[in-house]
Amino acid sequence: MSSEAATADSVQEPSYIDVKSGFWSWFVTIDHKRIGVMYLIAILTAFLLGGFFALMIRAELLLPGSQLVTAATFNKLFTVHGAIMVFLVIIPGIPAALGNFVVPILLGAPDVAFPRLNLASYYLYLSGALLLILSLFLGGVDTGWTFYTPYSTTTDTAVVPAVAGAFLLGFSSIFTGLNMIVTIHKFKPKGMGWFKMPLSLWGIYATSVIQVLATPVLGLTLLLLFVERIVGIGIFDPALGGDPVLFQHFFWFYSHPAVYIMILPAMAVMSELITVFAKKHIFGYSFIAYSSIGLALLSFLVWGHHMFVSGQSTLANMVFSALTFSVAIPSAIKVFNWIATLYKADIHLDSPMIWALMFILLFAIGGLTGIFLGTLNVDVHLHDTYFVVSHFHYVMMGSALIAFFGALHYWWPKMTGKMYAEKPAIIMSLMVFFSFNLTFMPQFVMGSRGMPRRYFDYDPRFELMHQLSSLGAFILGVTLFCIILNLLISLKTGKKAPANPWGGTTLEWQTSSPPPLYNFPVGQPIPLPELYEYDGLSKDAEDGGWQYKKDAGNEA
Amino acid sequence: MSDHNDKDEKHDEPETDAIEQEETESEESSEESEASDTEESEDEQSSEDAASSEDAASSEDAASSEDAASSEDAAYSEDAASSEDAASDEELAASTKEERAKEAKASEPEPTSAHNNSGDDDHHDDHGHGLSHIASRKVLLGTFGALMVLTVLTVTATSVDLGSSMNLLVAMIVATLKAGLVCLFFMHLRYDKVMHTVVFLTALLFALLFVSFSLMDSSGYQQDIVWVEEAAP
Amino acid sequence: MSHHTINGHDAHVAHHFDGPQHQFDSGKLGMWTFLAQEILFFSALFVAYIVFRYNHPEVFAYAHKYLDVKYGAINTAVLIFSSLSAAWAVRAAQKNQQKLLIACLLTTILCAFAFLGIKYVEYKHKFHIGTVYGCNFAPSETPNGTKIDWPEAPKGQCRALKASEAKIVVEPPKAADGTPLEPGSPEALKAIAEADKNSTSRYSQLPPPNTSMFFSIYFAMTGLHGIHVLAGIAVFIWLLVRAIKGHFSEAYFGPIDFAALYWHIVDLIWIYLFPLLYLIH
Repeated sequence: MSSEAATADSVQEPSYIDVKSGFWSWFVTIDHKRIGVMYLIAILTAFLLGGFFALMIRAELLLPGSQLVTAATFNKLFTVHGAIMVFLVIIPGIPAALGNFVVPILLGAPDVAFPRLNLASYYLYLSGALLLILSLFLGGVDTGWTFYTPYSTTTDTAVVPAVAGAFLLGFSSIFTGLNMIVTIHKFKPKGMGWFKMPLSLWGIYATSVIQVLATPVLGLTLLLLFVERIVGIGIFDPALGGDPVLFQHFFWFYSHPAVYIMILPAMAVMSELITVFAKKHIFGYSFIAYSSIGLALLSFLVWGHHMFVSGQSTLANMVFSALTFSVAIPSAIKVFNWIATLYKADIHLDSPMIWALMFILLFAIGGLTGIFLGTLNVDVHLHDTYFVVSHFHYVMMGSALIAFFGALHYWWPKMTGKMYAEKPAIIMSLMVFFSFNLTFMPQFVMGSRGMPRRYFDYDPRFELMHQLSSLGAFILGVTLFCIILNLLISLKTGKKAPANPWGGTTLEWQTSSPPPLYNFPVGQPIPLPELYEYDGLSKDAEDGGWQYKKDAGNEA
Repeated sequence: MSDHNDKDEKHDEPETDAIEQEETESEESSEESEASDTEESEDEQSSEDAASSEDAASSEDAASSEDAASSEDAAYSEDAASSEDAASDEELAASTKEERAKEAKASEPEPTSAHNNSGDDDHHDDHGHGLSHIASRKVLLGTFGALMVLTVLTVTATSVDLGSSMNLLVAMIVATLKAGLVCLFFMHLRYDKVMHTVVFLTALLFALLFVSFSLMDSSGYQQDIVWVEEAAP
Repeated sequence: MSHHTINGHDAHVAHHFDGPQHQFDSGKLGMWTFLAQEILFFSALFVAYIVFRYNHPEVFAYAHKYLDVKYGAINTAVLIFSSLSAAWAVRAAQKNQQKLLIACLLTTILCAFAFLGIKYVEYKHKFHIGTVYGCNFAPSETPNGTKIDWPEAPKGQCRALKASEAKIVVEPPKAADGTPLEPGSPEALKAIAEADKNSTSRYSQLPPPNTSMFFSIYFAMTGLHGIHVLAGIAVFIWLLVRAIKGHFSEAYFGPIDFAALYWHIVDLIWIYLFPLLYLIH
């Protein structure tokens, strides 16, 4: 394997950033790397906005009674916080931003299968995001991010633009998924079979399958809601014989699998991070690969557990509750395999690894509390309390977003060609762990004691819990802001990143940082190292990164 | 990264073998067969063989495609009965022969658009000329005819009282037959990569899942969502 | 070990593909994946249909009589024929028959317009007699043509909910040419007896509760299908322009093939919509 190819040729070909400049070169680009970067900018902006609304919510809940906002505004705050974080940040986070950037490089391909469709997805995302934000200026939405009927069809807030925005975001997600499926099918290099793909590709593939199969149902549901608001089609209107519970079936047929659109790419990245920083072959490759597909399929069978107290029939309740437990199996398979990979490994505690270890712990908490909620009779007690809020924050934020930040720190040198300051990154990631638990652990406690979610006021006995939670949230907000700042500062002052700063064996580390326009030097062979074999690697390349030892190179 | 080109080159030899084999096959069978048989139908048969051997995994598919084929066969045997049609068929055969010869010439110098390989490859396993299979006139017209016949059939069946659930069943069976014909022949699934059938069936499977779970639940709560005007807010 | 190559010589092959076959196969898989998406997109409406029909069979048994099987059947035939011409367009492109290709594309477009034209006639009639979705549902006649007096609703209220106050209009007997018959005359008695016989038919009576739901489903399904037909027309016009410019040949016909696949799925959905909406027994 020629390590020289990676280091020496970066001088010859300009990187994708340098190859052209100016606004238009980005605005109409079809380069998947630039589109990935544009996604990243939009997503981080949306993240800061959604985070701001979260802090508003926590500030209001600092004391019982009205503090900052009215009860009606509070409803709008949690709605927009949820909608932004789900539709604009977590769902596109790893697949559209980071996945777009790395998937073709992981395959040694010059681009995704349909580059123009890829750009179109981005602009669909952007227009959806703008519509969603427009609804804020038109008076906001107070339905919750789930848009449940019949409230959403009768409230006089700006449901129409929000629904239209979510519809466009859905199609952006479908087209990204479609692109990824075809890219992974058709652009595998010679010598890379399905079971020689990096595990991140398995995760992205499973995610894309869900995106293509589940998101259209959301699209149609929102379309019906849209038509209901505009002309009153009546399908969800009980006064006309319509069925409001059907809306929830439609919605959760998408939105439960959507949870796996969020978590599968996170797991995919985790599999990658853990083996790279443990410098040990991933334990149980095929189990992790199959469990991704298994999770994708199972995710379609359990949507009814969101509807245990929504008027769903007893039979459906029992079936969905029983099926829900089965999701624990593939999730646990992954966690056990990660832990087995760490066993007796040469663990390097670089900042991406800190995020990865955090992920395992927080995901375990989030996943196990999910089992409580999947249990029918326990859920009747816990439904619509802060226990649920805390559970899905452990999964969506504690797992999906933590993985997103881990992946961002992992691929940042590749994307930008700069190393960020490592010490602050590690300290702040630990702060995230501390403040995140401070925010959400008290919510488990007060939820199980009966604090309902989405309430603007509360019983004084919950005061301490709410204050701890708010304190944690403020620290968390400041820390996450600083983390993004730390990354941005590296653009100015960071050291030049080596081609392979972490000692990875996947293809993206075999090209320069940042990669050239077509990802690898044109006309030269692409090295395909033995996947997850770290024996031949050592950290002694001239650029300060890892490289294959000269003699070990040809054995692979 | 250019493994696809590599593969094409690699397949050059077996491809020519395949062409030769196919040609000898068709010669043999044309000796045996009647004069009214067109070459095109043989071409069709051999590609059908290839397709069915791959499709054999899903027995349902095979069964429905057999149905379709037999109904078409019936349609053609009627055609062939009149001597005029047979004559025109011969003309057709002659013209298609010329066309095929042209095609073969045109495709020779360029390996990528040549008669493609014999199918165990994940990347290229189509069975026709050029980039993908060409549907024959007979298949297209036959599918169209069958679809029209089935449409008339389903409209007529509605006027016969079989009990409402039986009527629904008949209508759905006919619709599914029609959908099958469209998929297999108009959409080329019969001759196409198995992967496309897998994608299609997966989508149907999930749609079915969606229907069945929702239906299982909806009858259970209907009594709870009846609108009572007096109780309305 | 493979070499990193960028396609730069073939005008019809995008830079990141290895060659025409790679591009075609990728496009086709992409199109099939898109069709999978389409199936799931429509599936929710089929779920709504099945749930409502299962729980309210009487509504469907009654309301489908408002639809004219004739129009539905003609539209089915039109769409099947357009599917044939779309499939034939692919064949023509594959065989480099330029004129035939243009003719086939044109036929497909015309059939699509014919389909929408017939749909327009049907929609117009429904709006005319008030058999529409949601609150606007206020039929002025039964499926058999008996007049209904459906009360107006105060502004801002739902007219469909006035169903309990709707009445069948009993009209004085008239002759075939519309002139009123003299009360008590044998012709008038005969006409009344005829009308009585007719009114025992289920379809001369008032619609059952929640009949508007049938039309909600009907307009949602055919409307969404109609939007797909419109999109198909746009795509085929684009292809027609390109075909006239001579872009397509046996070496490059992917767009025709993919558009035809899309058109077939639109046909396929109609193949189910037709019996589900028009052919209820």
